[in-house]
Amino acid sequence: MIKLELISVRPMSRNVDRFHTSDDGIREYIKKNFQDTGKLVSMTSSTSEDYSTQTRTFIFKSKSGYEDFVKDDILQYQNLLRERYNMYHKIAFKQLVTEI
Amino acid sequence: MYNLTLNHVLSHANRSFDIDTPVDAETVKYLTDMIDKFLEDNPIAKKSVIEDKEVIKKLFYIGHWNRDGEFNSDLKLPSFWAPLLIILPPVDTTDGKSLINLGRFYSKLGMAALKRGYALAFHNSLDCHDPRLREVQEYLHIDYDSFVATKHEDDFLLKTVICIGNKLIHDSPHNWDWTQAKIFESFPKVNFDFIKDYT
Repeated sequence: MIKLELISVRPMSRNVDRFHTSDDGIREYIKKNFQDTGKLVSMTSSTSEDYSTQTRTFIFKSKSGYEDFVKDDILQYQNLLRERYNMYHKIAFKQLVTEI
Repeated sequence: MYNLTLNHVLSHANRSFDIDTPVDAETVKYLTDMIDKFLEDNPIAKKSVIEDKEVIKKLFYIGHWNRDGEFNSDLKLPSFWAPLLIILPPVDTTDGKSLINLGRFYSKLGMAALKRGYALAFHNSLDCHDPRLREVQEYLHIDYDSFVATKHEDDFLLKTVICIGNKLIHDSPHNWDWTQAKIFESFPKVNFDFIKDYT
């Protein structure tokens, strides 16, 4: 299985700014195309105690499912929107991929 | 009679529609006949009259202009969530005379909807770079993949949408926004003193 972690860190001085959030249409899209098809096993989100760090974790059944996810053009466009949002709101972002 | 109430109605796009109460069939036919007559005399635009909630939902999701990242992606334009959307994309976007003519017709359609007791909003804010636009391209009369192949970063589509329906809350201000439960900030309107000073 493949674990993808999307980690966002906002400066403490600006912790009133929200983390980037996709719309319900994207959540429905991920459910229909990745969860319902069995490619995506789980999708969770957690926030640190000081509210500065958000970690979104995606567990994929196989490497091919993960690759479909990262190559999907609708989701790639969401990455672009997130990059712009993070830049505007000074939110740091990193992505970790591990085999589990 | 022109009064403060009418001024308010004409000054603000309605931001919250009752999506579950459709526009009555007679009004839809009246507006559609108006459009057909106009396009018969002036074949300058395509036509989409949309009442299907699933299609409206898809347009609602891409109804957002977020080029510089200021707004979060779940923040949507509230007016798009309306039971009737009319889109008349111009055939030739370089023909200024046709665009003015079409703009006047858009106003007439809007006034006709107002006279029949409906609220309305005009929008021109589709995120045309979002690949989800492919799913609604037939209603916007474009081919998304051709657009993507030729698009420049600053290109945007001239797709003005008229949103029509009943107000979500009858006695709420027109610019009350159901997505954020607050008044939608409008651009300042030109007032009499401004006109007097600059004419």
